[in-house]
Amino acid sequence: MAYEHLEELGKVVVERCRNIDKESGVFVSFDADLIAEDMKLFEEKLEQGEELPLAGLSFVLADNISTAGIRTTCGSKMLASYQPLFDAEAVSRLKDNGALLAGKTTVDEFGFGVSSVKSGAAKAVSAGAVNFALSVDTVGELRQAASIHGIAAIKPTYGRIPRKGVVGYAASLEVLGIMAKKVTELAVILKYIAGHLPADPTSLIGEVPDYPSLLEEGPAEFKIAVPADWSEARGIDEPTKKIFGTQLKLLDEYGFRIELVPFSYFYHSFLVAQFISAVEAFSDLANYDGVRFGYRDGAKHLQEMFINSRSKGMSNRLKRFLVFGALVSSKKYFNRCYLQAQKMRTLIKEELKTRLKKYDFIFTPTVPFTNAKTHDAYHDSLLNPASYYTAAANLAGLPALTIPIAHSEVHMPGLHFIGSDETGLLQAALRLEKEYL
Amino acid sequence: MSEFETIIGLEVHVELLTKTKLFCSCSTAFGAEPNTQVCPICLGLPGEIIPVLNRKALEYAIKAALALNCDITDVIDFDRKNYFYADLPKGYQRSQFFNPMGTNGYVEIEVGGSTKRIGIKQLHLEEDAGKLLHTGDDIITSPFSLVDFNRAGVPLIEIVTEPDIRSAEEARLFLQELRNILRYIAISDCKLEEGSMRADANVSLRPLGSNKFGNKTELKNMNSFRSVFNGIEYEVKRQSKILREGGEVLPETRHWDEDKGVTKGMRSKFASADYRCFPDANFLPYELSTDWIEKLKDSLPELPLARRRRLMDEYGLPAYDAEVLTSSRELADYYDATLRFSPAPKVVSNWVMGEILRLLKAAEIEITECKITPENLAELLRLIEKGEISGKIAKEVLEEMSTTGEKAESIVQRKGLAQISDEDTLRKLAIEVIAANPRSVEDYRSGKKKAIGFLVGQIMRKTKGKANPQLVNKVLEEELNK
Repeated sequence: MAYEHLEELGKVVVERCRNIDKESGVFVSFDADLIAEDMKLFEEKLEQGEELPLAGLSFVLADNISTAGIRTTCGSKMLASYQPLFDAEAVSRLKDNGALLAGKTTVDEFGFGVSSVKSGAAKAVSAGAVNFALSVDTVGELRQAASIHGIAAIKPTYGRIPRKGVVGYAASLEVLGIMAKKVTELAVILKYIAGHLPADPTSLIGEVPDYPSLLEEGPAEFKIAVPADWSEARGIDEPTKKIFGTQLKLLDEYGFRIELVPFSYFYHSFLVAQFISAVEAFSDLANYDGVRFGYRDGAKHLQEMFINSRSKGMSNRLKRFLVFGALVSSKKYFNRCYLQAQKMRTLIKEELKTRLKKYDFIFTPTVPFTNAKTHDAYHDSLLNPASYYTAAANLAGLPALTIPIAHSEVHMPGLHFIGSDETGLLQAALRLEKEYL
Repeated sequence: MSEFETIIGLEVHVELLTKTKLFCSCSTAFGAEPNTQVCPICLGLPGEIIPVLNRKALEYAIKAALALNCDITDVIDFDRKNYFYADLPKGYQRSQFFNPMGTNGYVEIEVGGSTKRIGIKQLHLEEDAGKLLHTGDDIITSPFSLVDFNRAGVPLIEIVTEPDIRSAEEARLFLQELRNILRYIAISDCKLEEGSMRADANVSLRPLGSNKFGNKTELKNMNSFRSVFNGIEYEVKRQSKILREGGEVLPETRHWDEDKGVTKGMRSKFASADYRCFPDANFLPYELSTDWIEKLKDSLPELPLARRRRLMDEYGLPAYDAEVLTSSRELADYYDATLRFSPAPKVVSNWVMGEILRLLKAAEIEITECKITPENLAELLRLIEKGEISGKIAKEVLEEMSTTGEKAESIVQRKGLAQISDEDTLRKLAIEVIAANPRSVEDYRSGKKKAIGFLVGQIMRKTKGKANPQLVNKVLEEELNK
């Protein structure tokens, strides 16, 4: 009985994935036979009495998360045929608990920025092809993609989920996050992939709360801070102002006590994050040199090999970002730019933490514009304001969550909130989700 | 020459004796097949970037910093030194740029009978790069080059001196003392020839009396103490010739060519010297426990200089003896252990520096492998002291002890080597010899006192060298003068 169930489910997942892939090109790697094999394996394990709490759930991975023996291209020519030796830790944890990996989805090169076209993971979840997705969030890419495609996502505290196997571009900012349609699903998945890994000392030590069982708890009312100048965001459009403004009035009815609170540093966070992530990317992506793996171009000598391999293996957009990082960290600008950005980072972090002592959450829109075209138009800019509201959480290492606002007239940015811990965020999100449905 | 002052600063890299690499669990064993001691972390594979610090390496670096009298950092942190090279897997080297393990230390050396302090600017922990093997002369002209990453990630400490060194000889003395200290605390084997200790020298000259530094060159590729000395000597001569002729020294890196005995400017391959050092976000900084540092401080052995001084003060040994005996911790331990059984420091010193070291060298073994225990050596010396065996016989006995480990007394008894110190026996022999050699007797009596030597030799031959030489002399003289 059970066997037929999982096998059938596998077929359904395959069909749905194929449909969405045909419709809008979601997958980099997809293997129907592998899905059938995995489902069979899970069935056998279940028959042997093994517990697989996530059996029956399927997911996709952004293609900058390592999968043993399955290409992990990071959306770059540099790694077009690269096959990792190991699964990322989070992937192993999901598989060990019976979740089905349906495939690897498109990402912007090395996960830098997010365009509506390349956010394959969000598309797959939004279309209902799989239950959830894992993706990397460095300045807000995960939450922005979820927002564009009308689903929920959580970016946990820095280090909550081990990063081992995550191919990032800015080590001090990036975390693995989860996308799903429902808050409950976020809670369940987080429970199984969070927790310390000795091989990753940057992962947080301490017991992982049983998030799903805590979802219904929490205070009757939440105190919310909204940055007073939220509507002054760079690039913000009228529909966003209108819809978020309306939400602020409605939220009181749902038990969210809103206060407009002055912020000094928050508004600079997207630029600060841009400086810091560019410097880190310049170094984090320095291992792509054509020596040991990945794309290598012909050359007369070593230096030329580095130059040719990186020139041809990476897109102009990424290279411009790396050059920016090299410039900002050069002798000439190190003190003037990089150090100043680090000081600002500290101030932003302190400001958020101070506010979160008095308020439960900080609410904003997730992105300042309502439609994907605006989002994509900014995509190539080094001063992309898409992360205007999201980057602060990465700078501070704080957890943040986005959920779609229902009944909106246009394709609507999500409601974004930063909190002190995942449990509180999930509780508040669940309460809102119920109201919106 | 004399119109210039030589200014030298050294940068010394020392490989630590840990079993595994600095940030992963790969082996550090020397001489394995290329690329067999590697893993995703030390190869810098995508997504495999998070380091786990080797606590033993940290301990060794702290011990080294303490032994060099450094102030120890409060915070352990690693920074990235960014540059592209084929032997550098990640495109950056993890090193301690902002918070070096130790700062503001010193090493004391003995120069021309007085003590000189060489300042240690800093000591920091970092990871080594891989090894390149070129099919041609260098990486630019080779048709292709091979890389071995076994060494990539092996823990190193880099020790940077202040520009306090004033001659090639001082540089050599400093390096020898440094090696000695690091070997005493057992954190490295410090083999220049094998590359587990590598020294680069920054050399510049300035007119005597000037307090401004001149342009410096960085000397590399000096693989022995001798080549450090020769390389610096050569560079000092080269620079002073340039300066005397009114030229300017080009600030550059120069290679010491051991065979030709010259330094050569290296083609500048990669012009960029901007390493853009910044903290490695994948390593979370943490505070060092002061308790641990105190414990490590207490665990340090007596260091070479203190030991040398103690041997001189406590036992009245000459400086030369103290120097030789403390040249390794094991040898000094051996000496100290022997003195627990012997009341004669200088005698023990003579035997350890002479016979023991000769036997070790002949057998190509270390003092720790020597079969002569300190107690047995002391016993042998006691037999000489008591007149039971002669010094000459003692050397034979010692040689036997070194192969079998047998006690001196038992060898002497078994082989009947005890010295003949019985006066009657010797007198009988003297009378025999005098009777048998009238010519020598005549020579002696006519004033050629040296002729007695021949007669002594005859007695020694008859006794197979066992006769007590002083007693033989005395008895012979008495009989001849009768």
